[in-house]
Amino acid sequence: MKTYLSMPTRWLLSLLLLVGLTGCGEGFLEEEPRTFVSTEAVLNSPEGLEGAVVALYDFPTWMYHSTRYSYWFISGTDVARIGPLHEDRGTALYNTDLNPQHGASREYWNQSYQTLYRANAIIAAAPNVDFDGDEARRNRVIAEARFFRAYILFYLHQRYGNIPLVTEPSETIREKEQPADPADIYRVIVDDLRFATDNLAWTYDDQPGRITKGAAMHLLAKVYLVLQNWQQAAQTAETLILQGPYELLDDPAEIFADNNENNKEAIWTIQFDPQADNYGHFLAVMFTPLYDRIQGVARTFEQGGRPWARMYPSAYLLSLFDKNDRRLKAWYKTHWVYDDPDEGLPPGRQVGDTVRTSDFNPPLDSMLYLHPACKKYWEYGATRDINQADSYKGIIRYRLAETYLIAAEAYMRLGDQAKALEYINPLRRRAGVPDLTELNEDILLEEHARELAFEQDRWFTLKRMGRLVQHVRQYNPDAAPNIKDCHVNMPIPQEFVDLTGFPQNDCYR
Amino acid sequence: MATRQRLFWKRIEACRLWLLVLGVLLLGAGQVRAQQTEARTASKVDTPIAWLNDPYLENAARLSQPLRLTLEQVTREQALRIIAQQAGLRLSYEWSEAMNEPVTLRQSQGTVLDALYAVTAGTDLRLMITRSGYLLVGRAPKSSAETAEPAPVQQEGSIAGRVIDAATGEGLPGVNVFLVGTTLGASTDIDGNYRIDNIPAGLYTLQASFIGYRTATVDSVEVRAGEVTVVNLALEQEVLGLEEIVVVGYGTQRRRDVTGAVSSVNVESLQELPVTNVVEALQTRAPGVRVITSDGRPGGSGLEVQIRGARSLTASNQPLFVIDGVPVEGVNLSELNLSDIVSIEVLKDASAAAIYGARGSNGVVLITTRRGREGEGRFSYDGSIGFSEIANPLDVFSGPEFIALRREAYRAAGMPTDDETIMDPVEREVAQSGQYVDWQEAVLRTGVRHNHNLSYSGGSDVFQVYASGGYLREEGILKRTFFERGTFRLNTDYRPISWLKFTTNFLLARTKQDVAGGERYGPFWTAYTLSPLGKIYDEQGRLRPFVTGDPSAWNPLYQLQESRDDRWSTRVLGNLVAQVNLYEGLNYQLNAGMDYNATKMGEYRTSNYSGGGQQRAVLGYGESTSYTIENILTYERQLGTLHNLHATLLYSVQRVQDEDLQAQTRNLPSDLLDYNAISSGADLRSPTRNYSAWSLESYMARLRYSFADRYLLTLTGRIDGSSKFGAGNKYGFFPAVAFAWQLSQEPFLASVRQIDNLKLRLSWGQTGNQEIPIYQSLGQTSLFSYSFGGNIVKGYAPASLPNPNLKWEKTTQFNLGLDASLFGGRIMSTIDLYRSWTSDLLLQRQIPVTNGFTSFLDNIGKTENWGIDFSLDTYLINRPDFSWQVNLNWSLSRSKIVRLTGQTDEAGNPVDDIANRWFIGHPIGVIYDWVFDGIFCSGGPYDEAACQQEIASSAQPDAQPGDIRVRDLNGDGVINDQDRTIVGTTEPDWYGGLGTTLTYKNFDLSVFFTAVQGVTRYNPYIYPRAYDPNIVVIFLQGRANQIAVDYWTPEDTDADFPRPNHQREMPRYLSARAVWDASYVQLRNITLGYTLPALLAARIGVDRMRLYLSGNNLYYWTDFESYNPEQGDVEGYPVARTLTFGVNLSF
Repeated sequence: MKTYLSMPTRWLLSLLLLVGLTGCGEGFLEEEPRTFVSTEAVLNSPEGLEGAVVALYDFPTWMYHSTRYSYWFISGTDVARIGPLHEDRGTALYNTDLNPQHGASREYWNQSYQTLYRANAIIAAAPNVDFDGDEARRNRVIAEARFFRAYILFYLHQRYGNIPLVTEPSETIREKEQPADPADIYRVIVDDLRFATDNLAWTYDDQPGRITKGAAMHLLAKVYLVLQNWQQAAQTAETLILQGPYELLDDPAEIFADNNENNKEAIWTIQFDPQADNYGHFLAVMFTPLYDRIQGVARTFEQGGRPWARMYPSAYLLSLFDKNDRRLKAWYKTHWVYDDPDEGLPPGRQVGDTVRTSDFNPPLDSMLYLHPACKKYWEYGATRDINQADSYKGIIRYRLAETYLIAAEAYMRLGDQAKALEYINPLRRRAGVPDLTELNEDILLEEHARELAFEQDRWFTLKRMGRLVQHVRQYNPDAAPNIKDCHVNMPIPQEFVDLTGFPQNDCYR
Repeated sequence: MATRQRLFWKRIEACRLWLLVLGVLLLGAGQVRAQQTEARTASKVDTPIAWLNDPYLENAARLSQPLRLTLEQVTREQALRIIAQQAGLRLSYEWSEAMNEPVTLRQSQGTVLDALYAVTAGTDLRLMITRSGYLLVGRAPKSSAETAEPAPVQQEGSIAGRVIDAATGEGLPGVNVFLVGTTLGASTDIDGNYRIDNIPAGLYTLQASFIGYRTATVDSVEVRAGEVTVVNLALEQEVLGLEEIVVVGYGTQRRRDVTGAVSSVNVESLQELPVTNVVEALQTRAPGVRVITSDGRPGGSGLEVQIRGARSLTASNQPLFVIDGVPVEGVNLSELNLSDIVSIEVLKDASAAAIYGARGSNGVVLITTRRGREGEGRFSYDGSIGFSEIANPLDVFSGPEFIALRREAYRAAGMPTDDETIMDPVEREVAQSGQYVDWQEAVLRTGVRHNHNLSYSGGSDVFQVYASGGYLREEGILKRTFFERGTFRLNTDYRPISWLKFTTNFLLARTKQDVAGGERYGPFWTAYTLSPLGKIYDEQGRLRPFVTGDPSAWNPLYQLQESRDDRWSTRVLGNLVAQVNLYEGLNYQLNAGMDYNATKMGEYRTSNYSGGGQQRAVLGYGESTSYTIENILTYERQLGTLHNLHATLLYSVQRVQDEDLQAQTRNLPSDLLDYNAISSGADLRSPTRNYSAWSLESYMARLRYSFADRYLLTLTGRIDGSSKFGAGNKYGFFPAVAFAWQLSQEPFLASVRQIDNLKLRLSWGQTGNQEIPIYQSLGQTSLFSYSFGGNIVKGYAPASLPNPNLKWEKTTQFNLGLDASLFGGRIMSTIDLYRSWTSDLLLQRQIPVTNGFTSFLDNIGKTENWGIDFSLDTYLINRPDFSWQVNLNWSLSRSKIVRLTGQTDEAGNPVDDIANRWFIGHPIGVIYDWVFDGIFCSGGPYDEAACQQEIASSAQPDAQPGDIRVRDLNGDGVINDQDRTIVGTTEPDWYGGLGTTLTYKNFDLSVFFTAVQGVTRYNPYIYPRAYDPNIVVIFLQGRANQIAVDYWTPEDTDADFPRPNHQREMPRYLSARAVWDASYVQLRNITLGYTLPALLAARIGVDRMRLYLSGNNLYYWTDFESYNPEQGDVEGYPVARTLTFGVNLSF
C-alpha cells in the first residue's frame, strides 16, 4: 500500500484536481432570474405592457382582500353605524385611533402610489414600444393605464385633501414632496379620462370587468361634479345613459343577485375568482349580525350566511324608505326568524316566528345580535359554502343608477328641474314609489342614500357637498361626539411625513 | 515556563564561556553520533527511545514510515517538531537546553525512527509515543552515579512520589514537578516517579505540569528536615484542540501563535444545556458574542447572533457559520448535534475574519466536529431527559379583573355598564359560576425532552473514524408542538500513503416539527387575548369552536385540534478533504463541501377551522443546495533557528441555490386525509414557485511569519466576487495585517515569575458584507393575475427598483488585544479593544412611496463601532479533590451612525432619517417616540374641576381625564410629531456572562448567569405595532384580555396606565407608554454532576460514568413584563424553563 508516486506525478495529480474541479467558466457570477421576467422585458413589448396593465386591476381587488379596510369607504357616514365586531374605530368614530399611525390610512396611501407608479411606467413606456402599427392596441393599453391613474389620483385627493402629484416614473429618488395644486391634479385626471373615453370601447364582451368607455365616462362625470362643472357633468352622464349599452334592471333585487354581477346596469364590476386569487373579498359577511348565536336560529344563507357584524344601517337610513319601497326589502334585512327547533326555541315560539330580544331571559342585547343588515354584498352560495368567510361574487363599483343621480344633480345645479326629475324618477319608479316633484340637495341626498348606501360613495358625496360633518353629527350617534370639520381629510401616514416633510392635515398634527 | 526561562538566562549570564566550550564539544559529539547512526539502526541496542516497550508501541507504527528530510542548522526542538509533523504526530516536550541546540539532518533514506535517533543522538533526551498521537520528549533519569549528591544537610528534606495519567493510571514520564515560588524541581522518570531533594523545611505548594495535561497543584505540602514527604499526583488530559490548538479558518494554529482576536467557546460547558440549536447555547459564552432569543420554539428559531454589536443597518448582522470548513447559510443549525462538536471558535476582529473576506464583516463562527482517534475503539453515550414549563407566564387580568376592566371601559365611553350590556350570555354564565379560564394554562403543558447520542471513536494508524447516531425529541410547552431529530455522523481520516490524506465529514440529519398554527396570530396570541369569561368545552365535553358569544373568539384548543402544521427537513452536510504533501513543507489541499437541505411542509385546516370556511390543504417542497470547492496550498518553512514562515493560498468557489414549490387547494371532500389529499381539492390555487441562486468566487493569500516565537506577523488578502452585486462592482479586495508580541518571551519579563504568558496583539483589516437578498441589482417583477369574468389573464409588473450600482458593504476594523496568563495558569485573561468603520452600507432605506416603492437598497452612509471584549478565567482553587473556577466575560459595544444619504437641510446640517429611525451621531437601533409624562389627573383624589384645568392648560386640550400625557418638548403648546425624540436605544450598555464551577471529589457543580443591561425596547404586549405595523392593537378597550396593568379610574387615580375606553382600540400615545427598560439578569443554568469513582466504574464495566441534573433558564431578574425580555413580537413562542437529568458514559 505504501507506494510512492514520484514528485512530478504528485504535482500533476494536484494540478489536475485544481483545474478539473474549479473551472467555473463565464457567467459564474451573473444572476439569472428564473421565476420572474425582468422589468426591461415587461416594458419593452406589447405583450409585456398588456400584462403590466393586469397588475393595475389588482389595486381595487387588493382593497377588498382586507378584512380591515375593505369597508373603510363606507365607515363614518350617516348611513352606517358601527357593529359589535368593527375593527377600525378610527374611520368609523373619528376618535383618537384615527391618527398618522392609522393602519388602513397608510395602506391605502401606499398601495395607491405603488399602483400609480406602475400606471405611469406603462404610460411612459408605451409610446416607444413597437406595436407593429396597431395604434388602437397601443392606445387601449395607454387608456387603461390612464384610467387607473385618474381613478387613483381622484380618490387620493378626495380622501386626503393634500397629495403629491406624480405623473411619470422618476429617474432619481424623489426625496421631498409638497402638496400639488388641485387644479393641476384635476387637469391630469380630466385629460386621462378624456383619453380613456376616446380610446376605449363600450364593451369587451369576452372580458367583463375590463375598463370600458362607460367606466371612464362615469368617473369623468363624477369628477366634473367635484369641479362643479355642472354642464360637463350633465353632458357626460347623459351621453353615457343615452349612448352606453347599459340599462336599469327592473327589479332592484336582481342587481345584486348571485352570478349576476356583470349585469346590464353594472358599468364596472370588480372581479373575483378563486382561480386567479388566493382570497376573495369579505364584504359578503361584513354587514351581517350575529344572528346565529341566538338559540333557535341556524346559520343559513337565507338568514345571512356567516356573520361578521362590522357595520349596520343607521336608523336614519332605514327611516328614509317608504315601507313600499322595493329597495328596502331587496337590499336590507330587518328581522330574523326561528328556524332551528333542534337548538330549542324559547317558550311560546315556533319555527317561522320573528325573533324578539325580549324572548330571552335575560333579554338579548339587540345590537350585539340583531341589528339590521345590508344585503347588497350577500352571496347565497354561488362561490362559497356556508362557513366560508370570503366570497368571490363581483363587487359592482359603478352602476347606471349612480349615473342617473349624477345627471339629476348636475341638471338640478344648473336649475333645470325638469331634466333633473327626468333622471331621478326612473329610480323611484323602479322602486315602486311615487315620483318626486322637486329636487334640491336635501332630497337628492336622501335619494342617494336610498339608492347607493353601502356602495362606497356616500362619504365622498357628503364631503363634496360639505355636508359630511353635519350629517354625521345629526344621524350617526356613535361618531357624532368626535367628528370635527377637519376630519374631511384622512391623516397623511406618519412615515411619509417623516420622509418627505409633507405637511400633515389638520386634526392630526 | 517563566521559571525555566529565568534559569536559562541566568546560566547564560553565569557561564557563558563554559557554554561556548560545551557547545563546541556537543557539536563534535553530534558529528560522531551521526556517523554511528547506521550501526544503531541495525542493532537497536541502547536506543534513545527508551520506552519502546511501552504498551502504546503498537500504535507507534508511524515510526517505521519512510522519511526523507534535510534540515540545516535548526534547533533540536524545531527538528523534532518537523519530524513529528511529517510522521503525523504532535510534539510535546519538557524543555531543556538540549532542545535549543542546533542540529543538522540530511536523510535521503530511512525511517522516522532513524531521523529521531539522529537528532537526539548524544543527548539525554528520551522519546515516547502516546496513545493520543503525541511524541513526548523528556530527559532520561540520571544514573545513580550521576545523581550522587552530597549528603543532605540536616535542615533540608525531600518530596518524592509518582505522577500518573488520571485516565489510565499509568505513570507519566517527563513531567515537570516543581515547588511554586522556588527554583526547586525535578522531572519524572520512565515510571512517573520523581524526587526533589535539598528542600529547606517548610510548607510548599507543589505543581506538576506537562504539555497535553492540566496542571495539577497540591497546596500545603510539608517538608521536614531529613524526611521524605510522599505526594502522588494524577494529571488529567486537557481537551485537545481547545486550549492548545485553535481553529482559525483554513487551518489551525497554536493558541500562543494567534495574532487576531479569536475566542474559543468552552464546548464542554454547553453539553448539558437543553438547547436544540447550538447557536442558542452561545449566549454570552464568549466575549463579544450576543445571541438574542426572540422565540423559544422547540427546534430553535428566532435566533439572532451579533458579534461585537450591530454595524449594518439593512444587510444581515449575523456572522458567517463555517462547519468543518463548509460555510453554511443562516443560523438555523438545529440539525447539528451538540454532542458531536469538539470546538467552536469565534473570529472577531478584521484580521481573523478577513480570510473570509466578503463575508467576514459580522465575524465568523467556526464549528469543528469530533474526529476518530487512533487506538482501541471507544464508545460514548450521552443521554438525557428533561421537563420544561413556561419560564415567565404573563400576568394577565383575571376573570373578575377583566369584568372590572370592561365595565370601566364602557363607563368611560358613556355606555351602560350593567352585566347584560357588557357581557354576552356565555360570559355572564361564566361570571356567575366563577369558573374563569386561565388561557395560558389551557394551551400550555409540561414539555418533555429526550436526547440520546451514541458515538464511537477509534482507528488504526492509517484510518480513524468517528461515528455517532443521535435522536432527540422535544415536546414544546405549547400543546401539540414538537421537534424531532435523528442524526448520523461519520467523520473519517485516511492516510493511505505518507504524503496523502483523505478526510471526510458527513452529517445526515432528518427533522420533523409541528409548529402548531405557527402562522400569524397563532394559538398563543389568541390565548393571550381571550376573555377569561369563556368556556373551553360544551356540555358534551367537546371543544367549543368559540369560547364566548363573540365569533372572533376562536378557541385556540379547537383550532389546534382542527389543523395540522408539519415541517420536515433532511439535511446532508459534509465535505471531502484531500491533502497532498507535494514537497517538504508544501501541501496542497482540496476541500469539496456541500450543504443540501430538502424541506417539506404540509398544512391543513379542516372544514371546521375558524368556525368553518377556511378549509385548505397546503403542500410544499423546497430544496436548498450549496456547494463549496476550495483549493488550498500551504507552505511552511523554518529558516534558520529563528524564522518561521507559513503561507496559505486559496482559490474557492461557492454556489447556493434555493428553490421551492407550493400548492394549495380548497374545498376538499373530506377531512380524513388532511393535506395528503391535496389532489382531491375541488379548488386548486395557482402553485407558487421560487428560485434563487447566487455565487461567490474567491482568492485568498495569507502569510504568517514568526521571529523567535516572539514576534508574530500575519498578512492576509482576499478577493471576493459575488453575483449579488452590479456588473462593475462584483469584486472586492479585503486586506488585513496583524502583529503579536510575546512579551513574556522577552528577557525583561522572563524574570517575572508570576507571568506565564503575556501577548500583545495589534491588528487592522477590512472585511465585507454581502448578506442581502438576491436579484437586487436587477429589476424584479411580480406576477399578477386577474379573472375577467372567468377569463384569466396574467402579467408581470415591476416589483422593485433596480440598483445596478450595488456593491460591497465594507468594514475597516482596528483591534488591540492583550492575552495574559498569570500565576501558573491560575488567572487567564484576554482583553480586546476595537474600533471599526463601516462604509457603503447596504441600506434598505425607506423612500417616499411616491417613488412607486417604499424601500430601495442602496450603498449609503457610514457607521462607527467601538467596544471592549473582556474575559477572565480563574482557578481560585485547584487541588486534585477540590477546585473552584470562575469564568467571566464582559462586553460592550457602541455603534454610531456617522453619515446617511448625505442630504443636508437649508442650514447645511445633515438630515436624519426619521422614518427609518436613523439619526446621525446616535446608535443603530434607537427608539424615537413621544416622551411618556404620566397620566392626566393622576395621584390624589379625583377633582373634576382641577382635572379639566390641568388638561386645558396642557398641550393636549382634547385629552380626557386618565389619558396618557406626553411631553411638549418644543414647548409650542401642541403635541405633534415635532415632540418626538430619541427615548432609548436597543443597543445594550453592556452584556456578559458569569460562570462558576466547583468540583469536590467526584461532584461538580456549575452555575451560569447571563446579563444584558441598559437596553430599551417596546413591550410587544402593550404596543405590538412596533414590531408589526399591520397588527391591530387593542389595549385597554375591554374586548380582549391583556397584561394586567394598573389603569386609571376616577376612583383610583394613582395609576401608571390610562383609563380604559370601549370606544377606542387603544389609548392615544400608547407607543410612548410601551417603551420599557429591557435589561435583565438571567440565571441561565445550574448543573450538578457526579462522576463515578474509577474503581466503581470499572466494576460495572465502563471507563467513565457521569450523572448530572441540570436546570436551564431558571430565573429572570427584569422589569420587562413579557415572556422573555428579548421576545420579538406577540407571536413569539414563550421561553421554557427546563429541568434535565442526564448521563455521560464512555466504555
